[in-house]
Amino acid sequence: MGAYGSVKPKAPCYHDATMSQENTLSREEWLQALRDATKREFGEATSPDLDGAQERLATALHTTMSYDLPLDEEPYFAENQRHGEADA
Amino acid sequence: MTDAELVSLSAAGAAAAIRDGKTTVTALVQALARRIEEREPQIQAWVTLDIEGALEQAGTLDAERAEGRLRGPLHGVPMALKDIFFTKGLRTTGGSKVYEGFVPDRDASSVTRLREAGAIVLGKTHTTTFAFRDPAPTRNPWNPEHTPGGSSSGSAAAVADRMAMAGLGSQTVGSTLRPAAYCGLVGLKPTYGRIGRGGVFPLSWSMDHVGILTRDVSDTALLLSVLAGTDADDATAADLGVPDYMKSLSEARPSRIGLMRGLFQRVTLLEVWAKLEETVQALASRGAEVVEVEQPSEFEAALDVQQVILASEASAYHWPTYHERPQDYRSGIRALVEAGRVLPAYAYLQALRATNHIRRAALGVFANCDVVLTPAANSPAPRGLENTGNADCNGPWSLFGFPALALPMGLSSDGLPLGAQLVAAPWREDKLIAAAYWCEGALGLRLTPPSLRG
Repeated sequence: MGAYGSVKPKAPCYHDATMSQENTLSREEWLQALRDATKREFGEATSPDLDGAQERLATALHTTMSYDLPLDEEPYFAENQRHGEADA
Repeated sequence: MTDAELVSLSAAGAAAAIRDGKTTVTALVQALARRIEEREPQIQAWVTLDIEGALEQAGTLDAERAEGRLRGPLHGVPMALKDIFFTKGLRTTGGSKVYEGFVPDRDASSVTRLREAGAIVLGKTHTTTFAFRDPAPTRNPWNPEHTPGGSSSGSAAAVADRMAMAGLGSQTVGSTLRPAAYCGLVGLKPTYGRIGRGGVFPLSWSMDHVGILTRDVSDTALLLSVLAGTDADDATAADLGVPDYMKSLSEARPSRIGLMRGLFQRVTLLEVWAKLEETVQALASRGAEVVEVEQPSEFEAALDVQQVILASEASAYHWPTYHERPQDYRSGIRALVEAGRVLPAYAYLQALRATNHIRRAALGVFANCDVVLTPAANSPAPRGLENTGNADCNGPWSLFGFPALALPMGLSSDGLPLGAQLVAAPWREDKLIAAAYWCEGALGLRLTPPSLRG
């Protein structure tokens, strides 16, 4: 089960070599999606700190998903990074 | 030597005193045991003490010394280990109820390296639960009404309060440098991959680092020399040559220091920033070239990106045990596991892609300076034990995997330690240690907690 919840995110759309910022969920939509998904997964038996964690994550998700990236940017896998830098 | 003299020895000083016959390992462990007996009821640094085991080991090491054999550069040096490092035959709880009875059948790779160098394990120190945010009971030796920081709470308090010569911590966001700053210590988080993490409870694999807590930069260099290198139990540990970090000390000279403002100044209390500016003036007056380096705009996203990675990875790791025993998870780590459980894979991967992008921008900073300077923590140690403080000054560097070091820079108006943070390019711990050693000498500070002042 993902954080889609009842909110269907729009598909990423690329133009000008960056991800379009307007094609992501708002922070509030992320928060609602997180709340819906965790409720389905865990019901009411959750940590008393869950609300705060979801608030933080909603902000984090909004920032992360609206971060402009070049089309060819790959994920950072730390173990793959080290050799080139260390040899340089 | 008196007890006060023995417990105040640095790691290098203790090793030298043992080597030169000025004391014995047994006398040193006994002095520390008395110090712990006196201070532990108030400070609560230790989860599990093994004085009996330490004394037995001390006897063996004294016998070897008498025969002219020294195991290594830490022969007889007693240490404190955060309770997320596996220790063979000595329980390792992770600060949790989940593993309250867990006794590993092997040592963590870093613990093996310490023992092979002659170090003694005095015991295991308190950590926030699974090195996240649920606080440990440990109090700050500078003022027991304040947190020592976390997650490496017990190791920092034990080293600051002279209950051990040095300690191991860990850092995923700010868990070594922040407690170091709060307790008046030197704290090092090396480059990601410099020290193997085999046999250490993970929190977030992409950002977990072994950390070193000492009372001076020389000891940091000594410990890093022992701990750095490959690890058969950690694929991320780099198979690279390890520089001679002790040589870095003799190469210390005024550095080109890049003061970075931006988000670091924005999140920092005025009093702390003023102390940093004062430190800059002091370093410049003694020959350092201090330049202003611009914080890349990409940094603004770093702390948020980090949260997505942390929640995703911590949830994935803890899910099997959480699923079986949710009631045994404290509220903070439980909320992280629950919230992270529903994150989509594309968000996690987007966070890793963004990390690559931000990190590349961060690398560019070192074209203009040898080391970057910021506060190591945005405030002195907060009052109360409910939370372990703010890690915003450390988080970006943990995300990037760059080596960072906390160095004492003075006291706050209410007598609590403040720390500066120096950061170097990846794999340049040699440069970082050289710069820190020079700064330490230039500032001439030796912070001593109230309980040790005559």
